[in-house]
Parts: sequence; structure tokens; C-alpha cells
Amino acid sequence: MEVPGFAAQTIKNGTRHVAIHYSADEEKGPEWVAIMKSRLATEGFGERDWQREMELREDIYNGEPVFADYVDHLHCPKPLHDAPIPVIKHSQYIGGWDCGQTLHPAFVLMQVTRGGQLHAMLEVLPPAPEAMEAFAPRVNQALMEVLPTLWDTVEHVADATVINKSGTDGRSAQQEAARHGFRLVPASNAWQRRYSAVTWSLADRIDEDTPRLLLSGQGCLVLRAGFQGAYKWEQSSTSDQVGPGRVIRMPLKNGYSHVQDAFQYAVLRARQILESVPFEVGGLKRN
Amino acid sequence: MSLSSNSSNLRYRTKPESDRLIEFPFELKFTIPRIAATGFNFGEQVKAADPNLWPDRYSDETPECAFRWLTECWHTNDEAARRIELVPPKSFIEAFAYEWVGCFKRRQPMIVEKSRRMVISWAARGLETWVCGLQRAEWLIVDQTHANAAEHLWRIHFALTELYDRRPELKLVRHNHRGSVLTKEPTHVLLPNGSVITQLHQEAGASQGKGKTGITLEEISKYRAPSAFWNQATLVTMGPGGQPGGWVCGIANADPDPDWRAIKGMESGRKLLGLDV
Repeated sequence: MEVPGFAAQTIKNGTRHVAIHYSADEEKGPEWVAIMKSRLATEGFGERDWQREMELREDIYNGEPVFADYVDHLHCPKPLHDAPIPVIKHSQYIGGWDCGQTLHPAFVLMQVTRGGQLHAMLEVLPPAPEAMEAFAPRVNQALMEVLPTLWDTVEHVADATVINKSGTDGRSAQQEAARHGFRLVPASNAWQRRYSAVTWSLADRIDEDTPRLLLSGQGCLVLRAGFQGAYKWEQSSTSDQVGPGRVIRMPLKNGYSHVQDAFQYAVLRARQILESVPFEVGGLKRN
Repeated sequence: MSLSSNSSNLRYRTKPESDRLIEFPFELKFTIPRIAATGFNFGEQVKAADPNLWPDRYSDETPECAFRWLTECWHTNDEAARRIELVPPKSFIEAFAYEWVGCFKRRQPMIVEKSRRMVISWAARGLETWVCGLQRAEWLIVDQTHANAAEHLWRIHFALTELYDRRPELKLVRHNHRGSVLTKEPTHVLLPNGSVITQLHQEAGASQGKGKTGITLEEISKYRAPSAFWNQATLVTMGPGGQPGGWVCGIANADPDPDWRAIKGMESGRKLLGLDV
């Protein structure tokens, strides 16, 4: 039975997958869409909700994304969806760490080209809660795979709490990382500076067609999902101070926030470098 | 059944040839012989009764019958538009009924990824009720919250009540329910053939046990752990060796949650529909 807007298939695990789009109903044409959109908008059902719940878009998260300047097709164009970003000669490398006082550490490797473009090449996340003793060797191994001859040139920056000593053994994450050959420099934890740096990297352009930031969909799966909306503003539904249901301007701590934090430290440092050193005009152009 | 009695207990043999005696702890001398005299036997009665509740026009377990049931018997309530109407006889409803019945008969797990406002959830409630009226069944409907899960049962109560009122010629025996339908919070819908439709929500913990005919996981893409519910549902519908067991159906909107997407093999509804070229 052929019905436009209706399709079914049996997927690999044997489950029958049925998809039903509103266009399967011949009465739901453009006029209906326009009326419904305007009616639902008054109920707080915005364009993002429409795209997800009516158009079946799977890349749009519920809630308000922290970085609204991220444009997926611009910052992670199709050729980078399933491909790594190549190592470009004469680039600088920054490792951003979120690892102080947490068992959910995260690492992001950033390439800063001579043209001044930032490339989020790789993220490292542990599969389960992990202490620095196990996480640092994991990062080491990943770096050696991606930058076999350059891994020791990476400049490492981390959150300010990296110097805090643990109550159990009196060692800090910074000291633990040093045992594995990483010199972690604490970066500013100030939220506004981090927010501003990332917004700059997303909104700025090297030229008309070239974004300041590119990320690899293959190497930075969780980072990309975070930019797509999984990293979102915290909703406060109970606080009397803020008011029920109001959006408060701090990111929600969830499975996507740690890698975003790591990325923010890397961008902070990259911006410092770019603002202090004159760079060549033009960078890696997107396809 | 043969009876004998002494001063304090009534004894009866369940089968004349059996030596097994069941002792009652109290005197039933006067009541049991009267019941026995009518030849009433609860076990035999239930066994002999036809579990099918529906008239012939709706009583074959086929997609055609299911579609007829939905479009001739199943009323939906659009509260915003203040409109009560039958499920529309549209081609996508027919296609949905075809897929639903096929998957149920094959016991093939089914995931429905849909746009909102397509009356698919109403239609699914109709099909679940239809199946439960064809056979003695136990159906579980799960949603995110108690209120949401209970509303699904209320819809069944609503549609059946409309059916009795609008189609008296069908002479259907009324269903029963537990929980408040006034506050849209029924907990059980009990059909006259012994079928039970009940509800659960994601905070209520895992559903233990076995022997469910069907489990519908509404809004599964928005659960905190979609795969945990999907796997548990698969487990409790698993039949004994060599028998088909029960069936699991998930109904949801698109969502980027990776746990949800893993259940459907990372397949995209848009891609399946050819919307993403």
C-alpha cells in the first residue's frame, strides 16, 4: 500500500519501523501548516519543536540551546560528518580539559591553523565515571593516534579546579596528569568569558564563506550533539527566586556539558593566541 | 461432582473417579447442594464462553476488520475543537491498521515514529481494545507520567462509552473500570470477556512478571531510559518455549536521544520517508 508520508521497513534488529509524517493526511497542506504553526506558537510550541515533533527531525533537542549561533551545516559541513579533520602543517594544538574534582572528565583537541581557523578534531570521554589516573592515559593514547609525531607539542589548558587537592590522597588532577606527561595550565572559570569566547568562535567568519570554527562529526560526536541543542540552559521549575518554569542563564549539567566545558577552555586559549599573533588570511575552507 | 458431608465439613469430590478431597472450613451444607443442583461450574462456564465480544463485522483478526472497527466504532475526542468524531477513513489510517495487525499477528516488535495531530494514539487505543475484545488478553500501556498513562485508559473508556450510546444495535456488554474516570485517572479497563487493560508510567519502576499479551510504550523517545523500558517490555511479553508470547509496540515523536535511536537501529524516520535526500 503506497501512501505518501507513510513508510515502513523492517530494520536490522527485526523491529518494524513505521514513520508517519503529517503529509500522509491530504488535508494537512501548507495552509494547515501555517495555521497550526501560528496557533501552537501561542502555546510555546516554537519552530524547533515543530521541526522535531512534526517534521521528524532528530537533530533538534528539547529546550533552549546554550549556543544558538551554532549552525550545523556551517560548522560541521557534510564532508566532516563522518570524517576526521586532517592535520594541517604549521598548526598549533590545544588540549582542553575538564577534569578537576570530577569523575566525568572530558578532553577536546583543537587545531589552530596559521590561517586562524579553529578545528575541534577530537574529543575523549570515558565510557563510565573515571578518575584522572585512568583518564590521562586514555587521552595519551588518543593523542598518539591522531598526532603521532606532534602529540608532545600540544598545549594543555584545564578548568581552574585542576589544582585543587583531593581529600583522599592529597594529590590534584594537575599532579596526576603530570605523571602521564601532561602539563595542565589552569584557565579562567568565569562563565561570561567562556561564553563570550565560544560565541565568538561560532559567530566570527574568516571570510564570507569560511567559518572561524569547524568540528569533526566523527571525532566530536558528543560535542556536536551538545551544539545541536543537548547542551542547553537549565530550566528552573521550582525556585522561588527565579520563578517557576523560567529559563535561568546557566547551562544544565548533563552528559553533554563536560565536553563543552573542555571545549570552552580550549577556545579561551585559542582566542588569546589569535589575538596576540598575526595570522595568515584565509584558512581551511569548507566544501 | 459428588458431595458428602459430616457434622462440621462439607466434602466433595471434584471428579467422581478422583480420590482427592477438598475440605471447606465452614458449613456449606445448604448452599452448595443448591448451586450444585443447577449444574453451575465456574471453571466450565468461563472455558465454554466465547471470548469474542464484537459482532461478526469486526470479529476477524484481519487488517480489514481492524480498519472497519476504527472507522465505524472508535470515536475520538478533540477537546480543543470540541469535536467528537470517528477515526477518519483515510489511507494512512488504513496503512497503519495494516502494519499494526500484521506486526501483532507476527509478534514482530513495532516502532511508530510520527508527527503529532495524526490521531495515531487514538487509533492505537482502538486497536488494542479491539484485540482485547477478540480474545482474553492483558494489555499494558506505559507513558511518561501517571496522568499521561491514565489518559490513555480514559480514552478507551470514552470511546467504548460513545460506542454503546451511538451503536445500541450492537448490543455490546458494557466494560468496567477501576480508578476515577471523572478526573481522567482510570487505572484499569476491564472488558466483559476478562481482558484487562492497565497502565504504568516510567516512574513506577519495572513491570515484573510475564504473560502480557501486549505492551504499548507511548512517548518512549522521551523516557529517561528508553532502552531499559523497551528491553523490560520485551522480557515480560516473552512466551514459553515454542509459543508466540506477547507483543511490544513503541509510539513516539522524533527525538535525538541516542538511547531511543539505538532501539530503532539508528534509522531515521525522515530518511525512511525520503524527506532527507
